[in-house]
Amino acid sequence: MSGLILFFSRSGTSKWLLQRFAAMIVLSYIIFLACIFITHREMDYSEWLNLNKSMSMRFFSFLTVLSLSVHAWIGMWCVLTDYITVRLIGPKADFIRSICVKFLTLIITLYMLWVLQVLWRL
Amino acid sequence: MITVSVYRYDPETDEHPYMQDFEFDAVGKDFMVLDVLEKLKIEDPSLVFRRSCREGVCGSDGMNISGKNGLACITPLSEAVRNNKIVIRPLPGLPVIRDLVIDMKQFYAQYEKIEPYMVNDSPAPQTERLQSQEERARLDGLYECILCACCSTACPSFWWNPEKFIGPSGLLQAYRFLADSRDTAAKERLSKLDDPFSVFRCHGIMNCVQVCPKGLNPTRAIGHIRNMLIRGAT
Repeated sequence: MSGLILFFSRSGTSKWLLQRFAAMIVLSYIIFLACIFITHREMDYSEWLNLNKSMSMRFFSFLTVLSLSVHAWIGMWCVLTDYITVRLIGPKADFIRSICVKFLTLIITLYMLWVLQVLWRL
Repeated sequence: MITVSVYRYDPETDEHPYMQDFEFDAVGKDFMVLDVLEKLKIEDPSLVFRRSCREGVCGSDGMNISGKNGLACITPLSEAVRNNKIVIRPLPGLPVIRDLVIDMKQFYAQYEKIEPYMVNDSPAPQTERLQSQEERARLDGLYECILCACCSTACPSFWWNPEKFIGPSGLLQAYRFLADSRDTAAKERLSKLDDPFSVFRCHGIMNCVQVCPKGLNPTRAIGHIRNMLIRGAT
């Protein structure tokens, strides 16, 4: 909930912090998976499935995808507001940028829903 | 003999800007770039550039010299000449008024935003507001900025969003007042900077540090402001 408040806040500090926190969650997930692969070198598909079926792992996976989405959205929004400006590409920039941001939001939302569906079906 | 290629543009007569080449005989001396421009101006009085103190204090003659922003008066030819040629352009990113003179309105608008003056609501003492030596030392590396705009016009974030991003020069000045023990408006100053553009558009490219003719470090000051904002947010 506090993450959502930070995400929709107009504060630059909140967005900056949220992007870094999101990166830390993604990094911790990568480290966790690396530890699993190193300590269970002989893991077969059924073990892998059981691991991902557990509620805690589903939650961690979804939290990671959510963090990745937030991180990507803030990063891409920065890139779009840097490069698609009236100064750089002319008076249509605001319209083009708003289309790009909407497309980005749609793609990221669909991606999250798809991950949720994959995790739910396990 | 060196070739001095100078950006020329007079909006009243030229449809487009162009580069004009001059031949200059340095007679074995290491002139400053401003001296070269002064001599070229005798040859062609229509050449326009700003200058004042000619010793790196006033910040008037900021220009792009062989690809790097700097002050013409303290840049020796030996540093700027490459393959017997020196290329002189106006500072990038701001509109050109004529030749090497740029319109600095946007730069000053950002400077005005940070309220570059002391705010202290407590009654003024009979003499002056005192500082300890440590408190005064915190202002070193900040107060020396001469507002030449070399740093802000070298910053891609300022090129992209000059109306929203304060720019390295303005932020260095902002931190100069945030770090001042006599100023009591830190909270208000920080709240005005807490949007996604004013401070956080700095991507740490550090062109500002590379070009500052006074050897200042705006990126470090921006980092301090960011830390103050984060400490306030957490």
